[in-house]
Amino acid sequence: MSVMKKVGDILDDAKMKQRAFDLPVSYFEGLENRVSSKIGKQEGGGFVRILKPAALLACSLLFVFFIGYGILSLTGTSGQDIKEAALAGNSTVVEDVVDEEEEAIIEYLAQNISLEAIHEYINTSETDNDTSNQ
Amino acid sequence: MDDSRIIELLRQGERRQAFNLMVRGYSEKLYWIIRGIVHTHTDTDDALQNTWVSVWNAIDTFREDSKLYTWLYRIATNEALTLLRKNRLRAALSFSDYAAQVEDSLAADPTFNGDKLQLALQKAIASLPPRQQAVFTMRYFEEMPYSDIAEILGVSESSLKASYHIAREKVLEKIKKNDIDN
Repeated sequence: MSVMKKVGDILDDAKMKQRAFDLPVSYFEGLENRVSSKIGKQEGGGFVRILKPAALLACSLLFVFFIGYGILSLTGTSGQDIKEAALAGNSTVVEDVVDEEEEAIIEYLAQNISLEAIHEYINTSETDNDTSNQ
Repeated sequence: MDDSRIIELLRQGERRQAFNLMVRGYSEKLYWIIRGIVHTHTDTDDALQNTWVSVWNAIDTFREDSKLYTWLYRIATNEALTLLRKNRLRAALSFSDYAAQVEDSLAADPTFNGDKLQLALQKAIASLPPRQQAVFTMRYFEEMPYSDIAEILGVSESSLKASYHIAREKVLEKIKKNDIDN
């Protein structure tokens, strides 16, 4: 007879199916009271138990909001300030640059070139164009 | 246990009375099912109390299309498996071997009254995956019909038979190894 067969016989032995543990004395006598007490505690704290996750979520959101608000307050910027700086600030700079360039060109022309010279330049340009077209 | 009396009380809306009858009538049976899965008395007591709390919370959802005892066993088995998985996870997180822990606690358990072979059997069961432990306990020790175990665990009868067969083979192998080692 093989070893496995012997072991198989062991599992078929009724003794092996017997409970191999003792129970603590009077364990089941006190069980009903312990269960009732546990249910009572659960029902007593039922409202808190239901509200607890929602309250935790609300606290987390408030925490994140105040952290963000605190950072913006400390750096002295608000949402409106940031938006205005991004839009109005940048466009003013561009306009200023354009204005300054135009003024500089006009100033340069006024100081260095006479009207006669400009007329002469225009006439010369027109003559050149006509020649090249022919 | 007279299930018809409990069901009658539930129909009449006498939840508390029906519940108390269930606790008195089924606690011992559920205790041994749970103990076969979680092994120690402390864990069994914990899971059994959680079972009754779950039964109380779900008492209005009991439908008479399933037997009262399979409904109760299903809740008890789920509680036991949940506790067992938690224990295994805790052991894994602390880098220790759960099966070895159970083996040690079984060897040192003052409530254990069996012989060397019975101890080897308990250790072999503890080494099985949680669901196979439940299947083996219900079939081998409680001699429950496959159809009831299948209903309790929510699996098909054929896959349950295969699962029991595998569990039994593993237990035999483990006992044989234990016998050779000693």
